[in-house]
Amino acid sequence: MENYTFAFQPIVDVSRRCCTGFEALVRGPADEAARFVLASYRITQTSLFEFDAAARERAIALASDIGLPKDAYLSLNLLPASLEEMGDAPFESTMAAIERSRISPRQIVIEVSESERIADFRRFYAMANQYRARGLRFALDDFGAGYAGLNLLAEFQPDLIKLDMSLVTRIWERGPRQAIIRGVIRTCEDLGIDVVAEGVESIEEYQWLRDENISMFQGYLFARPQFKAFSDANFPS
Amino acid sequence: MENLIHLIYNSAATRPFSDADLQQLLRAARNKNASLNVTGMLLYVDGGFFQILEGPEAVVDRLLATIHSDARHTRVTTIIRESIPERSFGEWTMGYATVRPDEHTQLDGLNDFFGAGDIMSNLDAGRAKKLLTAFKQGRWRAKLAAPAAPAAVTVSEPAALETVNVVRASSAANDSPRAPFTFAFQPIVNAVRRQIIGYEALVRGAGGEPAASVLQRLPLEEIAAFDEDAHRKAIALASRLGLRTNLHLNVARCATNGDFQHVESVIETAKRCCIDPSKIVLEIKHEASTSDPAALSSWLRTCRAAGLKICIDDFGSGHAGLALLDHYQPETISLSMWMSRSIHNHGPRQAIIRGLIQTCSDLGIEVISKGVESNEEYTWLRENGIECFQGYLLAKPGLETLVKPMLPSEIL
Repeated sequence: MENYTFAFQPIVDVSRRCCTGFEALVRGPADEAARFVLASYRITQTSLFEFDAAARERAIALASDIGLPKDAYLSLNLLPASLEEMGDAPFESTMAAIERSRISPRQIVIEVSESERIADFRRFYAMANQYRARGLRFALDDFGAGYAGLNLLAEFQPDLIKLDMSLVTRIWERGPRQAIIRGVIRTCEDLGIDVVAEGVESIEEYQWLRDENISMFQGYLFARPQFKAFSDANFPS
Repeated sequence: MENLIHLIYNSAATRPFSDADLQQLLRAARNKNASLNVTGMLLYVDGGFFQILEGPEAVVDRLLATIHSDARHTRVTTIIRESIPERSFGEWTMGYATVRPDEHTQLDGLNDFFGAGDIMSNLDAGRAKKLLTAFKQGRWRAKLAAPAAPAAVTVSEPAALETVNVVRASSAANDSPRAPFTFAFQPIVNAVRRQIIGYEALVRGAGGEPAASVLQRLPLEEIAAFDEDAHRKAIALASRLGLRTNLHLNVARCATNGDFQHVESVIETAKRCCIDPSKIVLEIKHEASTSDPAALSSWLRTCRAAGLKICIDDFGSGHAGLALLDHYQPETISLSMWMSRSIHNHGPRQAIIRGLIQTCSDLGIEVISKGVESNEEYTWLRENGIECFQGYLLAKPGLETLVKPMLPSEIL
């Protein structure tokens, strides 16, 4: 599984007008999306978990080489199910990759998708604490799209929640979505969780979310994923 | 390497603390914490404590157990417990502040947290700082609590509720070839209006055996037909018992294939039994539905168009999550049991329910809390805006009877 690289998409903080982080996205050599990269290999459960861990190592090395800004974090995806099969190995390899790099553990955010099944909350919690003890942070990705959101949130409080694009799209004219997001913001404020709106593509979406005091965004409106660079972003006026 | 954690909780003082009381508390805490290698800070506002503890995992957990048993406060609610790479309050055996710093300027270790002091600016932008910010905005402020009541008393004198004729029905006629079954009815109460708003019909064996004894024997392909049969029977029985409130019927399987025979049968039976179809509430459990919110919402819209009401049951479990509310807004949701279990001392559940209440109030969705079993759970839910309740605390289901519930005393 050698034939892939990463694009980095900025996550902006509009209140500070800066890129607060970059998400590492798996891409094929000709900019193919991650699912095409995976489809080109014969993937078994084990090799998927191996790929998951190896991709983090590679993303850390690449981000370090092209100079991740010191004040920005790097978001890396993790499959929680890999815990069951791989034990501590992914943790060890990720920490080793960080040590080899010029990136501090505090600059790493581990993203776990809400739609992933977590078979054993206790074990997941223990693993998360292993990373946290070393200074890494956690984001719950795709929040609001899957089925486990509230259930998972009751057991595990991430540092960041990324609102799924399906909740953000055309938010300015969708009452139920607005009510859901207001509720989620309320919950997150109470638990000290930062909120990032994902998949923001229009100025109307941005304005509605900004009025609700969301200041962190990811989406084409601000910046597309970039190869070999930590690009700057557009800041809507 | 010691496993360092921080634990953040709030609690309600059982009596007002004077400055002298607080100084004494703080002295004791500092001595103890120094010996345990625990750091953190304590805030006190109008009868409510908010404390951050940092230290080795085992030590902090033991300390929390001691804190729980301290009679000077109650309603100890753990908000966050997680590993940290290093201490945020390393210099502080126990930092301390109140909302009115001007009155405590002489206290050793005081910081002007609510002023322009340096504690907030020196803190790194982690969870502790964010929760302090939330606290500053008025969140997590416990109010002075009455001294804890004797634990054995869970239900007070019955409050005056709308009276319902209690009629014991003649044994239900079995017009079906299946294993004989009947229904128990459990009341749902609006605690603010002090009214019974509905009864949920619960399948029972003919001798009162649990629902499983009837349903377990049912082949999967017969579930939809059983639903139809059971609902006709429940409506007829409720009508004979003189039901005047809503009737909640559980749907075991949603016909998302465009088959509306079931809905038509429910409406026809209701009319024949002189029950207004708008008093029928279909309760949909996540396992009865599909993982496709769009398909489910289309079926639900048809039910509503026919004049029935919908309750999304067990909200927070399975497919019944936030995404469903984006597609479909039912009249009512009932909270999944896990949400209200020990809610009075589980911070994340409290935060989730507060958010959900906000969402539902924005959408005009009524929230029912089912399975409430203790006065503490009931009180927390009432204080935070839940009005409708169902559970053993109010009334057990009555076999072929519309039982009268009791309201726990309102400690508001």
